[in-house]
Amino acid sequence: MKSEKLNIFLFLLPGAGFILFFLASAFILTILQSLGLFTLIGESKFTFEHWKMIFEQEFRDSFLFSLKVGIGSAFGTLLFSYPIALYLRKKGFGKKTLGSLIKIPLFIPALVVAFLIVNLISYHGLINSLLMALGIIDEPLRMLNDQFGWGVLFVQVWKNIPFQLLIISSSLATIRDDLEDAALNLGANKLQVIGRIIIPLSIPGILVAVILVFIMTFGDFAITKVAGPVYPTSMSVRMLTEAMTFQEWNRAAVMGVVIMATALIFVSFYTKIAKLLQENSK
Amino acid sequence: MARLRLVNIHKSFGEVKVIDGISLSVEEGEFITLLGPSGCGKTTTLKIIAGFAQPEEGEIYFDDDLVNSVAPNKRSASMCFQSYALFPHMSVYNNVAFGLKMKKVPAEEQKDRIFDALKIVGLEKYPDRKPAQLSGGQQQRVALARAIVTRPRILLFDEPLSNLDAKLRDKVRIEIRELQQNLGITSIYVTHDQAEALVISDRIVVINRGRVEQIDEPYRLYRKPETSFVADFIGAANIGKGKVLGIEDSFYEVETEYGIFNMEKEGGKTSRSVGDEVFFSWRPEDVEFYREGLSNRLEGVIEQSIFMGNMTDIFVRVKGVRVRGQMVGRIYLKETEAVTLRVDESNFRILAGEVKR
Repeated sequence: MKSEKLNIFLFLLPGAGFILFFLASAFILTILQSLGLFTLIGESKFTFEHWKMIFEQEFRDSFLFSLKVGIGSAFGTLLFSYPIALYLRKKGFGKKTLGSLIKIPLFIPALVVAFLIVNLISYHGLINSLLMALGIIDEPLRMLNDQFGWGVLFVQVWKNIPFQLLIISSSLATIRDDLEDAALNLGANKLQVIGRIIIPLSIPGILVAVILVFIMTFGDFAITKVAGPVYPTSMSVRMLTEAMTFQEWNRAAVMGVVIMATALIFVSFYTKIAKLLQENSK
Repeated sequence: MARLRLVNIHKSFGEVKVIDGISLSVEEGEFITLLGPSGCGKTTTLKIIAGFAQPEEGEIYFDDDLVNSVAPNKRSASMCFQSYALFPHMSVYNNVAFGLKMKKVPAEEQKDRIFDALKIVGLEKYPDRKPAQLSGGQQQRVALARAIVTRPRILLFDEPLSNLDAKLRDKVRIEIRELQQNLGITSIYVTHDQAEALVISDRIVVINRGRVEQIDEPYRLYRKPETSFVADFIGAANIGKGKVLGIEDSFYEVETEYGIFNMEKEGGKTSRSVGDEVFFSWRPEDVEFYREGLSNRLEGVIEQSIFMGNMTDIFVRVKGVRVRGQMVGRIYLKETEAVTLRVDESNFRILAGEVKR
């Protein structure tokens, strides 16, 4: 029995060992660094000193900003991606082309996306010029680097629509057409079919889409750097400032751990909800 | 409850003509089956009745109301789907309740009607189960309860039994028939299973390549097929070609590849004259041993004799043509043995149309 377990362990070692070494070691090093160990500069000493930063105003502002951008982007994107997915669900003229075009942002790196959108929404950008030329506004609107982060949200939504679209479309594709026919047959109109059949059955897909976009945007660096306000800034931007500008590697490590932990908490939420839903649908 | 009338329905998918002029009249409370091979247009016809598909041409009437432009959710023709199409996220109760909620039936009345419907299908004990927790037969019943609870004018069945095992299928089809008779709902049932159609229907509509071949009661359809397609599709048949030699009061004298036979005149809508080429059919179970003084002799050699339990299947070569016979019980005939059989003139059918093989 014991040797069997050992055998299994040994068989798993080449694959699992690789993952363990490169993933776990990075995680563990970051955690240890946040606790004052393995310090790259200066002496290493176990301490909770660096963790005190989470009570600082700047930290809290960054955390809340990232949380806001994460949640805002996740649901803001859903607002567009879900209706588009519904629309593209049934075959129709030009829908295949539209479906392909809409995926383009998926292949453009975040930084490039940010620059593209900057041209559109900056102080002297296309939208402001257009609105002024049409006489709708007298002076340009501040849409970029604004205090609230609308610019960041705008870019994030633009960038993430195709990603959510992919997830939600595949989730909608698993809903059989005859369920829709059955609902119609029983007297439901098109809206009722969507509200009572399609949406409830696509909730697992919606959850995955929202949570994945949250995790990606919560940890975003590039888009906040380009389109975000000067203060507060996102966790990742702040993390880089701590490490590169202030050479505070331990403090940067604390921020890294917080970003990972937040992501993990949301993933565990997701798995719990998904499990519940699965049990419900049995 | 309603009469249903289809007038000259045409439907194509792209280049393919799926329904090529189907007309049909269903009486109030009648159970009618659309029977045909896959791809013949029977399911499309059902979808056109339900409103899921639009015909390019033709009219659909419920009683005297033209419903062509009525949306599927306003038609009051409940459908039982091949896949059952139960809503997986809803309990049995809520599945059955769906139609009533959509029709805004008062909550108190809903409950009574749902339990009545569940009682009818024998599922009143499981209102809280999810569809996935039920067996295939039970899911079928939920679908049935969901269809009847709204008291539709017409019930539509799209091969509802094809996902059940053979034993259960036999049981449920009788239940569906009983239920339909008790409720008296006009029903249209689609199947490719001829045995199922014979058991369950008041009348059967045989459809082939988008056209109606024959509409008749099960017995007549089996005994008096009008076309070679019907003869061949329903049950087994020996189909052949012959030439009219003479015409008597009640029968034609027909020369065939394996002898001259008297064939009853009744049926075959057109009358024949001497010299006409005709197609004819007879059922394997119509063979009997020849007795002195009778007509329609078949002299041949047994090629194969297969004991089937309740009957014996025999394949006989008669003047070079292989024909199939069936006799009740065990028949002691061996391969290569010579036999003299006969088929009574009343069992020959003269058919319309071409033989499609």
